[in-house]
Amino acid sequence: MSDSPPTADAAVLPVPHAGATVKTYLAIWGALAVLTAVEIGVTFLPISHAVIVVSLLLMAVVKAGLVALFFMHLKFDGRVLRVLAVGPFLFVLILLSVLLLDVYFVQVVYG
Amino acid sequence: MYAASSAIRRPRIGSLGLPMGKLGMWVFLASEIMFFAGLIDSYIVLRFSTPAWPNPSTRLSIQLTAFMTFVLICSSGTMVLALSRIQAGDPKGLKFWLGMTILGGLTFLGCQFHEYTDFLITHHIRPSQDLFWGTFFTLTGFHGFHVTCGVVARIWAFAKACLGHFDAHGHEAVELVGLYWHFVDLVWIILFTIVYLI
Repeated sequence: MSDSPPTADAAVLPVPHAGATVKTYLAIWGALAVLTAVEIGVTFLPISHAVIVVSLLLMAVVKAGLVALFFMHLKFDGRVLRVLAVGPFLFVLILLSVLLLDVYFVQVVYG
Repeated sequence: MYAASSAIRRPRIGSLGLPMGKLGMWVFLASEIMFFAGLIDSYIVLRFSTPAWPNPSTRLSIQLTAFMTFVLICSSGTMVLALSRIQAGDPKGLKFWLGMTILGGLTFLGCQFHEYTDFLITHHIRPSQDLFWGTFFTLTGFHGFHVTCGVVARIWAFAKACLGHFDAHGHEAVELVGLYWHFVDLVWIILFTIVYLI
């Protein structure tokens, strides 16, 4: 085993999947940079604060999604890893909902 | 040649049909998602329950952090290029792009160090001053700690790359430090939006 050439070992392995092409990676990088510039630009717009907050959150979610899908290869990975990545967000939602309900009760109902 | 090549580790495939290192890293990242979710959720709740929350742009430098965000996004881009180079069997390309990624991480940390010294030393601001500063230092501090860990991990991967430990079929460590780094970038995307912009 130890005297077999390493290339023989490598030859039996499947070719590693490349995920996406370099062109795709550069496009994603460009989209992330442009979205960041738009985010900063939006904060200077003379529009209502609520619209700014919603658009900023939407852009942040899109950017995070692009990083997870392409840079972290979730788009090309199997179901197990996707479930592992998305699963915790269920707990995040439960936690946030319960905490916000608490704020609501303390401020509006009992406040 | 052979001595260097024998150090290359092939990924071990587990019963789920996935490389065990990658599965382990994703389990770790799942716990990290919940760790940051706890912090971010607390921040959201504290903001909602504090009527007079100051506008972040009056207290924080948006220009500096916009630059930091851009640097971190670029370093995520160089990290995927590093991985794609070694997948194509190009160790030189791996070392170059990994080096650029380390440089990006160090630039980010340098900016954060400058930001922190400005607040803590020049302006004598303390995390205990009010909720705004308390949450600011907690969120960005924990993220900065993760960036530091990411940079250390990539320096380790860079050293291994220099010793010839990676090739087109054995480069799991590069993929794992890359996954961690993209996660750190992803967290910053959220933090930049909710802490600095909103």
